[in-house]
Amino acid sequence: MRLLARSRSAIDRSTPEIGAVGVEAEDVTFAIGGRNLVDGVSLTVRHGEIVAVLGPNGAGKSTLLGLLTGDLTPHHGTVRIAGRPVPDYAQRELALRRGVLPQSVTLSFPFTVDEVVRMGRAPHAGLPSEESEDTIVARCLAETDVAHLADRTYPSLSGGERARVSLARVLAQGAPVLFLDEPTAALDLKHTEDVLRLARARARLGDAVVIVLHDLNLAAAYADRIALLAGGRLVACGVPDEVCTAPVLSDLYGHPVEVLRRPGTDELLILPSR
Amino acid sequence: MATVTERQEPAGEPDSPPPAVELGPPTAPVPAAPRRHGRWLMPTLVLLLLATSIVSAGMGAFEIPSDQVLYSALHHLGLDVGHVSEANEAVLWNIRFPRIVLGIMVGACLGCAGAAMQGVFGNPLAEPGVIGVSSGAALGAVGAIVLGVSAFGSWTVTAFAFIGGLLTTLFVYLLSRSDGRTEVVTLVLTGIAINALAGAAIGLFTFVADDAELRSITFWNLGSVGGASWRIIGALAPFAVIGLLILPRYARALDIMALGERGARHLGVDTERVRVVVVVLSATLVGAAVAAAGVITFVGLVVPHIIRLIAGPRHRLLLPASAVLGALVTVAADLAARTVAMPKEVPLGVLTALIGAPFFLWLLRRTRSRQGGWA
Repeated sequence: MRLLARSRSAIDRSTPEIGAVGVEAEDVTFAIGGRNLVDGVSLTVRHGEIVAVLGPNGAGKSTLLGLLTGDLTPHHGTVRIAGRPVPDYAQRELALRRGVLPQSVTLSFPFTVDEVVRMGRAPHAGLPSEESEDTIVARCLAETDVAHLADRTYPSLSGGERARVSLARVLAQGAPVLFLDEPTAALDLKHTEDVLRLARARARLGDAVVIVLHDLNLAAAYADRIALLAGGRLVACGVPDEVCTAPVLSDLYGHPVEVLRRPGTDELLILPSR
Repeated sequence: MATVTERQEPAGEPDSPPPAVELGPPTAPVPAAPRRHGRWLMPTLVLLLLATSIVSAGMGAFEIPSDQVLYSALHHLGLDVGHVSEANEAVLWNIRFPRIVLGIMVGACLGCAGAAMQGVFGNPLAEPGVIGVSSGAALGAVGAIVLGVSAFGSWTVTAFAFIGGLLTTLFVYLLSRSDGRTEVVTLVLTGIAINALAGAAIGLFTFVADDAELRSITFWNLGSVGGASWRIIGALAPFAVIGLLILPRYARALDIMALGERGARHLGVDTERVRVVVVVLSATLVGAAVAAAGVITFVGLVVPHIIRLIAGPRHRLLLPASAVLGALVTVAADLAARTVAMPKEVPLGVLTALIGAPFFLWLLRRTRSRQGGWA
């Protein structure tokens, strides 16, 4: 950590403007064993918007997310965060720019919920902050509805509670670009809506949010744009009304899909034909 | 989350001004975890260590009252209080004190190294003895003795123990890790293999050793602080001080590495660097301890575990507290080792294994059930 402290003065933590490019993939390709898991995908996510990534199992959603976060290095193409190629960032600078919520988080030792959320503040160690760490942590615990669990140990929590605590940690990190990999997989109906509303609120405050989802209705309701992946390629990308059509979705999933409107509203209802 | 009250609006309106989002009360400070007793832990441990050391210095074949022990120690600090007989003075400063100081240093090295290794391996069962680092270090030391190497003067044996410990740590690390964690089975099995390999090599050296070398070798395998002298302490001190002072600087990084390697990188931890530094420093501590006192097992396993139960897993407290409790346990165990069967001495390493091995079994069972099988 000392190594990182040296470059403290050079660290840019400016808040990006709404509409500015948060993360940008340019023709990225990633292959394992000669098979392209992600194949020539270009995607731009701006500050202030939520982009949901959907597709059938094995479409390359997680691989694409790994490329965008810098976990994986593309074999071809470039990923830029705030206009700068990801490999050019020092680890800690990147942590101040982008937060990542993985599908599941296991912990080697029984830290308390409070301690886990405080870990999210690690990239800010030694940097000036408008709010105190206590305030930020308390706010993030409240936002994800886990304040009452603050003193419990993480391994003692249920799956849904762990998912919310991990989200609280990512929110505490305060990075303006957020990557959430199936954040609602373990959550009940109420908490699912809460988490997406929270993502919505973060986007409105200027964050660029990329969410991998499985639920088309959730994506249609909350995302500004939907990116559909199949076989590692970007099949469609646009506003939900444009992308979520019966022919496109039926073709994508290889199963007939009906697209309706909720009676009395123009809200999309996407149902598999049964 | 109930506090995010505004209704979701139709998507695709980047122009609308950001509405005031009520994101929960900014006050309500998070209460400190009540089950943790961090504040009193260090002072309590240090006092217990001092008390045990004074008692230990007085006990043995030649009894010395505790006040005499205290006076003698104070004399050397320049305080002229009380009177100590010359015989007592000689016993204390030539035999008892070196032994206790060596016990403290060896215990501190093993306790702290155990905590750091468990942190960097992401596994509460990682322990220098169990995973074979101690045997690797012992092999280095035995090799130096039998081959008669003297490349580093009086530090040769220590240096070889350090190199042996370092190589085995790196070896085990490379063999048993995946995404910054080590699975229990892989780790323990790797330890068995390494211990068997080192045991065979030590056996080979034993076979070709002469009588004097044989006595030294037996000492490595059993573990004892009975051979303590100020010279040995002087040889151990630099290694111990470097490790014990630098490791706590990586406390925060080790905490975050509990999230796994990828999770730690997401939070800006330079995991490569932390890994290399912590592995090298832990091996330094183990190598130094083994060079000075042979293989003393399970201190590095039991001690950090007790501290975690009392004060939680935060390394900022865990690393120094494990050092002090390691010292306390070693001094107490050595006191027992040399008094339970007087005038004979039970080897210290045998004693710690007798207590530590059942504890290890219990921990193994518990870890197994918690991870739902041999994960």
